[in-house]
Amino acid sequence: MSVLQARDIGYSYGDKAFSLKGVSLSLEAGESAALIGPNGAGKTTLVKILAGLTRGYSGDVLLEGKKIGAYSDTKRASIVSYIPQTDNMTFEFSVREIVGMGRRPYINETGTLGKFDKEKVTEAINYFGLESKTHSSYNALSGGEKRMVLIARAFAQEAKLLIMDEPLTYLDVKNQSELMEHVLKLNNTGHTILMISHGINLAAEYVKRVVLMKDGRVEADGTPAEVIEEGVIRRVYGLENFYIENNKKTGKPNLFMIPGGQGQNQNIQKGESR
Amino acid sequence: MKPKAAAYTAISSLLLLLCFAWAISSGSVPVSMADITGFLLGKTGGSNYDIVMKIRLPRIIFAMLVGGMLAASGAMLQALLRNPLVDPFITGISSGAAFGAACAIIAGVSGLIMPSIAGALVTMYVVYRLSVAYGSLSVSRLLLIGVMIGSFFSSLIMMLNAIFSKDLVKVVFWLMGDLSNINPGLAMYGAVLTVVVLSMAIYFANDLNIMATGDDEARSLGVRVELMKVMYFIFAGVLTAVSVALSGVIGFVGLIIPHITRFFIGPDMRSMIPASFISGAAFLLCADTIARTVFLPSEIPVGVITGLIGVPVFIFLMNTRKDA
Repeated sequence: MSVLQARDIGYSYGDKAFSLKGVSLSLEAGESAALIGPNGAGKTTLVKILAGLTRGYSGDVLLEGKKIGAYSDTKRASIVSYIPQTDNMTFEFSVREIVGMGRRPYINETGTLGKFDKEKVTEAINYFGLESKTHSSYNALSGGEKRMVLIARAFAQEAKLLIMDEPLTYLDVKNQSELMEHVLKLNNTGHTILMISHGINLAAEYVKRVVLMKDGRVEADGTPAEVIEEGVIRRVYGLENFYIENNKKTGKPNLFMIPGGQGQNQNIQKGESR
Repeated sequence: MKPKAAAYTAISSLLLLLCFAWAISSGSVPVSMADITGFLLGKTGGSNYDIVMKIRLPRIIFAMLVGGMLAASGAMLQALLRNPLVDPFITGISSGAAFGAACAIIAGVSGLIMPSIAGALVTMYVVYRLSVAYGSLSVSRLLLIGVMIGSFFSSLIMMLNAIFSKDLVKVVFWLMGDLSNINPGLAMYGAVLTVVVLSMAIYFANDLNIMATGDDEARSLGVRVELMKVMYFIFAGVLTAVSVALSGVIGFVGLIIPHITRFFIGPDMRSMIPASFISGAAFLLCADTIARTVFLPSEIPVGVITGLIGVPVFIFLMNTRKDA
C-alpha cells in the first residue's frame, strides 16, 4: 500500500528561479528512498510539500490514500514527520524537552505529558543512545548528536513516514555512519524513509531506492544500481571526471571523483586500468 | 511547573512582597508598617490613611500591573521572533500604541485602550512585514526598523502636541512613562483584559515552545503555526497597548525581565509567562519607588530608571550574543 503518493506536483516561487514541474512519486510502506540531485533541483521544496508543510502547489499529495490537506494538523503529524536541517536553536531547550515535543500530536495544547507519553519519550531517548544527554542543552551537543535528537523526536512522534532534509550535512564519517545505521534500524522496524542526500554513496549503501531530480523534475527513479549509473550521473550533474564502481563488500554502486578538472574526459569504465 | 521554575516564581513573589512593603512605606511622608498593616486590614482614619490607601496603594497596583504586562509581552515577543533582544519598546510597538492613544485624545474619543491596541497591532504588522527579507525574518532589520518606527511615532506625538496644543496629559508621559496618572476605571478594565490574555497565553504556551525551534518543525509536529503567530502577536500587542494606555511608554522592562527569568528557569514558556509577569511586577514597582523617592520632593519619570538600567543590559546582551 502506498503511504505517500504525489501526483503531478507543480510549484513555483515568485521569481520562478526554483520550481517543480509535474513531479509524481509514490512511496510504499516500509520503503527507504533517497532523493538526490544537483543544488536547486527542487528537492527541499518537494519534501516540504510531501510532508504537508508547504501549500499552494498544483497536483495532489495523498497520505495513506487521502489528500494530505484533508487531515487535521495533529492527525497528519501522527503519520508523517519532517526532520529539517536544524543547527542551534535560539533558546536552550534540553534534549528531553525537544524529544518530548514529539508527543504534540497526541496531547492537548497545554503540552502536559501523561505517563504513557513520558515513557515514549524515555524510550526514544534510550533507543538513540542519548541517556547521558537527557538534561543537556540541545545547543551544547555535537552536530551528530543534534541530528540524533531530532530523529529521536520523530521516533517519539510515532510517525510511520520519516522525511529528512539532508540529515548528513556537516557530519563527519563516523557520525554519518552512526546516523544511517539508526535510519536503517528504523526502516527495519517498519518506518518508511524518504531522505534528501548529497552523499550519493551513502544513499546507495543504505537505501533501497534512489530518486534523482534535476530542474524540478524526476530524472531517474529506481534501485541504486539503476540510478547511480555513469550515463545518468553525467547527464544530470554534468560531470565528466568520475567513475562508478561497485563496493566490493556490499555490491552497491559508489561514485568516485578523479581530480584534474572537468571536461577532460577522464571517465574510467568499471574495471578499467586501476 | 518544574521545581526550578516554581522556586524562581516563589522567590520573585517574595521579592514582590518586599518591594510592596518598601513602596507603600516610602515617600515624602514616612508611614510606619504598623499603621500600613492596620489600613490594609480595614482600619480607617488617621492622617496617613488617604496617603496610603488612596495615593500609594493604587499606584503600587498600577506599577505591578504595568510591569507584569510589559514583561509577559516581552517574553512572548522574544519566543515568537526567536530572539532575546526584542521587547515591545525596541520593536516600536509601545510607541505605536502611544500614538494610537494620542490620536484618540485629539479626536476626543473616550477610552484609550482600544486605540492603543489598534496602534500597537498596526505597528507590529508594519515592523514585521518590513523586517522580512528574502522570505525570512531578519532580526537586525527588525531591531533597526523597530527603533526607527519608535522614533517616528515619538516625533509624531510631539508634532500632534504642538499642532493641536491639546493636553496629551504630558508629552513626557508618552515618551518616558509615568505611573502618577492613575485612572482606576482604566486600570480595572486593563486588569480584566490582562487576566484573559495571560490565561490564554499560558494555555497555548507549549505550542509557542515548539515554534521557538522553527516553523517547519512546529508544523511537522501538528502546531497551527500561522494561527499561533497571529494569536501571540495579538496577545503581546494587547498587553503592550494596555500598559501604554495606563502609563505611557516604559522601555526595557520587556527586555530585561524575560532574559533574567529565562536564565534561571529555562525557555519553557508555560513557566516563563507567569514568572516573567511576577518578576516584571516586582521590577517596575521597585523602579517606580526609586523614581518617586530618590529626588524628593521631585519625581522623575519611571522610564528614566528603566532606561538607565535597560540600555547597559541591552548593550551587554548584544555583545555577548552571536546572533545579535
